[in-house]
Amino acid sequence: MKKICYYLLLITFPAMYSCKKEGGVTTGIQPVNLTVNLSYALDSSKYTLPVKNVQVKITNTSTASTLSSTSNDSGIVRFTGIPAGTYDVDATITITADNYYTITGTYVAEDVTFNASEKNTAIAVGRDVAMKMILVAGTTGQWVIKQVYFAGSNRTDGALYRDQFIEVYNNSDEVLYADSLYIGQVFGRQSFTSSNYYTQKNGQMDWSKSVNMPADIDANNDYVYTRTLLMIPGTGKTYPVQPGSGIVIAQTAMNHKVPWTGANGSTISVKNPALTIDLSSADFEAYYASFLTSPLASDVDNVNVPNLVVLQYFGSDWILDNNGRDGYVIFKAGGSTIVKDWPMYNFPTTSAPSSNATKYYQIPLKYVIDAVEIQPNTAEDRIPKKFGAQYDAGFTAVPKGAYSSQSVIRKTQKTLNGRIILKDTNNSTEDFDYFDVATPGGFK
Amino acid sequence: MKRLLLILVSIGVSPVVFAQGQQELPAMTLAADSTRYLLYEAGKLSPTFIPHLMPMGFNTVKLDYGLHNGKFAAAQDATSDRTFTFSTEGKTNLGQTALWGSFNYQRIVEDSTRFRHQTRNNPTAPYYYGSPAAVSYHRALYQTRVGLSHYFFNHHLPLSVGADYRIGNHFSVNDPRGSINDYQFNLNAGTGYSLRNKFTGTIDGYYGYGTEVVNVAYKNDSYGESTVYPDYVNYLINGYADPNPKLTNRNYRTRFRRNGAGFSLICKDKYIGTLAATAKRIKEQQFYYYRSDGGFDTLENYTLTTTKAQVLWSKGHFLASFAYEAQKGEDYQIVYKANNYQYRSESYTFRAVYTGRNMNYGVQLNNHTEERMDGITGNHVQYEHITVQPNIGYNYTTKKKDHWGTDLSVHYTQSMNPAIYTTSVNVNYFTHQVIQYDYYFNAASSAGGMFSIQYNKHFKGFYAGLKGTIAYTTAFHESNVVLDGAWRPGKDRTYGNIALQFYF
Repeated sequence: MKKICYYLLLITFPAMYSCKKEGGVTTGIQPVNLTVNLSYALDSSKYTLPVKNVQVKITNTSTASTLSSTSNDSGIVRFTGIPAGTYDVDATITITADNYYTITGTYVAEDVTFNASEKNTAIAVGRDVAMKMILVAGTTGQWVIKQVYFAGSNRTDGALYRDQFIEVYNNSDEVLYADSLYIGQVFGRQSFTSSNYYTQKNGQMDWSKSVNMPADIDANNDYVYTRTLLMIPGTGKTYPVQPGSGIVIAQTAMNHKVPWTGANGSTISVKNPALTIDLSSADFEAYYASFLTSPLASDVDNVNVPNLVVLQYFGSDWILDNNGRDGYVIFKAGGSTIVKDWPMYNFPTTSAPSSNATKYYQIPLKYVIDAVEIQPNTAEDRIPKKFGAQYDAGFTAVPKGAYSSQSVIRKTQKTLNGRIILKDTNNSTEDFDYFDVATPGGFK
Repeated sequence: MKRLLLILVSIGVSPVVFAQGQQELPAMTLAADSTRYLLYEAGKLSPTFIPHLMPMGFNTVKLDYGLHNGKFAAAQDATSDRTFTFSTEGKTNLGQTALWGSFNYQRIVEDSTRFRHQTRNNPTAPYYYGSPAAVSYHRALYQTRVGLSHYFFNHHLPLSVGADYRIGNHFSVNDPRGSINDYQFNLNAGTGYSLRNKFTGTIDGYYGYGTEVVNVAYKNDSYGESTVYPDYVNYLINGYADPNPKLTNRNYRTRFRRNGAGFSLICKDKYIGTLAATAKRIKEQQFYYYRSDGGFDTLENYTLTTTKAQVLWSKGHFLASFAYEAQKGEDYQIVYKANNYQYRSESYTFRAVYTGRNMNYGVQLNNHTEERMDGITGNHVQYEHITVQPNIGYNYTTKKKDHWGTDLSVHYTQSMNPAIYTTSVNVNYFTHQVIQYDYYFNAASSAGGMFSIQYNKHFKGFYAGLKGTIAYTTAFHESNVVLDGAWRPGKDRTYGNIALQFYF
């Protein structure tokens, strides 16, 4: 019996010892080498644009740390030994107007900026990563979206979403007319999680799979899809906008700092006026109550402010997504184009949509004057991009997120003879800053 | 079958029913005898040990109310908590089958829990939600365990089976309101060879599974939908570094799968006494995923390997045991397609107990090391604790068989070689309030004591009594390392409880 017990000990202690032996602790995280190979879009291939000195910036979405470098003669940028992770990669080069004329023979009034971007790109451990990026020049229109106040203000102390607005700006040196300027609220996927939609490689919906979508169009790259489409009224020259001036388009054109009477007779007020703004002198407002059976009490009509023409809407008022998951476009269509008759499509769901499923206007990007991509403020809550680099290579966000009173505001590029020219490189990451409290008519 | 029903009833509802009809066994004597009680507790390590280490007639019911208070606690522990426990356990023989079972219910109220929407059962996990704001967690836990052992073929072929089922409901009553529902089920079985009732050895297999469902919500929506209120921001901790805010889709699920193997050996001989040993290695895989209408998105995988071994020897009034436990955890980050987080811990415990006529003497020595590393940031924290804890107890039984008992223990923990490295980039709340705080907590040495007293009145067929315990721990030799912005733990922590207990 004793022998058995000795054997028992002989078995047990080596077993315990074998459990203990282990080397030093290491993880599987290894630095990654990233190579970015830059070229221009095919449209520009008939002449040789410079691929040297393209600025490339990579931003780690978790840490917000950035690295920048410039391309060599071959248009190649190498980042060696970077941590694995999720990155935004932005490339940009500005060619002066003179240089552009020398290269292409085409006269342009302003310097031309080419952009390329890959957002939310997972750079994993285990291999060197090579990335091809195509530089494209965006359209720089005379109109720009200057400010978007989508976040709204505090639910209990502020005005919730009632005080939202968009400001559009005449960035040219001539008088422009706002008549028939369309404002579209561009919709898409609200997260990267699995869905019942057909999706593209970047996670965005694959609209080409929508029911009845024509096969001979590029449904994903030549169009965006709106859930709200509004138009500024007028006969053509009703609403002139001076160079260096803007128009404020309000959800509800009231002074939200002070109590006012809602459509049902109730008093609408805020506890902390400092969190909200006065929109009583807005240039236009969205008024839905005239065609809704159950409008919001806060949707009152300021008779001093012209109402927008509503072609498409959702919900009970012109509510911008407070989390920043909508994109925004402004465009003008040709005189003979009837925007209202443009086709609408269902989401590209993997199962057939019901007959009463919501449809979304298909907006041709060729008409778009300016586009701004908005994203939630936190890396974990990012959503797939809606615009290509030609329209908005980047995105913008308010740092504090929803109901924070903050707005995104286009940066001032320069002042020329007293006229403020706003930055417009078609990269909202670079073109936009933010206001702590939205400021209609403000500059930064 | 009738006895089986009786024990099931006794475990769950009314143990007194089971006591009726039993001869009056010295349950109280066992409870007061440190050596025998530790042997009984060792019987829970493996169902193979049940017929050898658990005597008939030790059945208990306890109602316990305990309090912790004080800020010398780990960063993600509650600064104070109140725990109500109802527990009952008992052992019987059904023919040739030895059967042991227990049921345990706990109601826990925690104050000031920060950065941890987790159960308390999975503290090494790298993936969870948390916020700087202190929340009050309420937890309701139910656990039942059953073990049985039977011998076949003229007592040569042992078969032992154990099962363990636990469900829990955890929620915080202030913003951010975490809600966690979990269950875990474990099954083990072993068979081997037995020789003349003196030696039994089994090879054991382990299997288990479970699920956790986690959700974080807010009563005041303003706190949760933006980063305007920093303390209330919901962060997604993924690794051991400052996390990112997670404002939308604040829910996930975890699927657990466990399997492992081990062995149990026991020999009893009048010359050498009782010698028992058991060891097992269990690999637990945790799959974190998000479920939506569109399907499932894998968020993270985590593998935790636990190795346990224990050797115990007892003869007469003396018992000595040696225990080893190690845990190795490593995640697999979906984004990086690589392992990022590493966890290690090792613990060696030696314990010796001698029970005299009225006095109990014991000493426990423990060495514990723990290490955590985050690959992306390079954060790396480790420490080692050596603890010595002698105790002395006094038991007295009156002529009316009433029982008095006291126990006094002191403990001293020496912190050895604490080390910390945290990145200087992206340092924020979690680094200051958890990583660096825990460094200070674990780098400090501590000492304290615990005193308990109990009185158990003898009634026909059972004992009923009260037991009170107080404990105090204070920190000293705190680290002189200056970590800018770091939070520091408090100086001391107290514990007290009172229990109503029945032995029958």
